[in-house]
Amino acid sequence: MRRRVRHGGDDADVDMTPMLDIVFIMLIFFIVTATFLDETGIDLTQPPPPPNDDPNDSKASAIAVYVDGKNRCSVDGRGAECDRVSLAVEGILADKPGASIILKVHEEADNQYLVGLKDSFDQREWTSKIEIIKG
Amino acid sequence: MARRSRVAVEAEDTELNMTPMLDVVFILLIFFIVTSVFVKAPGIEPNKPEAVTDVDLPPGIIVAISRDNEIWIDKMPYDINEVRSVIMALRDENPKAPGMIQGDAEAEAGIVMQVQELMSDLGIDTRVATQ
Repeated sequence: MRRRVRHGGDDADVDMTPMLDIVFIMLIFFIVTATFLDETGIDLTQPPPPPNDDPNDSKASAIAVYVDGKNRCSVDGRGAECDRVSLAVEGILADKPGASIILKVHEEADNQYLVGLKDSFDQREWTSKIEIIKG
Repeated sequence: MARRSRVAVEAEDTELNMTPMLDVVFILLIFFIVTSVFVKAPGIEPNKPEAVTDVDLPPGIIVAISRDNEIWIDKMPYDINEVRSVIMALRDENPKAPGMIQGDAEAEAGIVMQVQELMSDLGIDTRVATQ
């Protein structure tokens, strides 16, 4: 009598196959979607302005890199090829060590010059500030 | 009597025991559910500028800017004035998500920086996408 009762209990085991199917499908779905996107990017966020920043003081030792609305580059007022801006800046930095770089980009200039110049300064570990010129 | 029952028990034991595998599968499942970020694709694929110092980032909120300076979020183009509320809604859905601006190489720098400043303003850690 007792044995029969135990036997009935064995038969009443939950069938896990459908649940397993669903769990596997979910698992595969999440594995596939998890590695779907891979993005790279650079940081253009501005460093916070230092306290008591005197604009006249910072201008004295600043190198202005300007990109105008037609994607022409200039360094401290002298025209330069956009690919060669960092060379020009390097030359000026040798004369003015510790000068800060201000990257002035006209709002109609292409994104690639903004990203490219910022990237070339980051590569040489020069800190630079970005300014968007409107007009 | 005792011998027969022992044989029966051994036969049952040789059945495949799926419990450890199930445990592992569940842990994997929960891991992938937790780590997955549901990203809303912008709907366009801009030609991103190239850079050397770029770093890999998990994308959260993606804003794409086409070469015609259209701002695309979640497969819809928006005006610069409408972007703020759209990004705020996305940020509220996923408060810790980092931001990614996919600006076309020929998009205007002014628009890219405007969106960048707007997103930083909303407390989103934002990067500009490169190739």
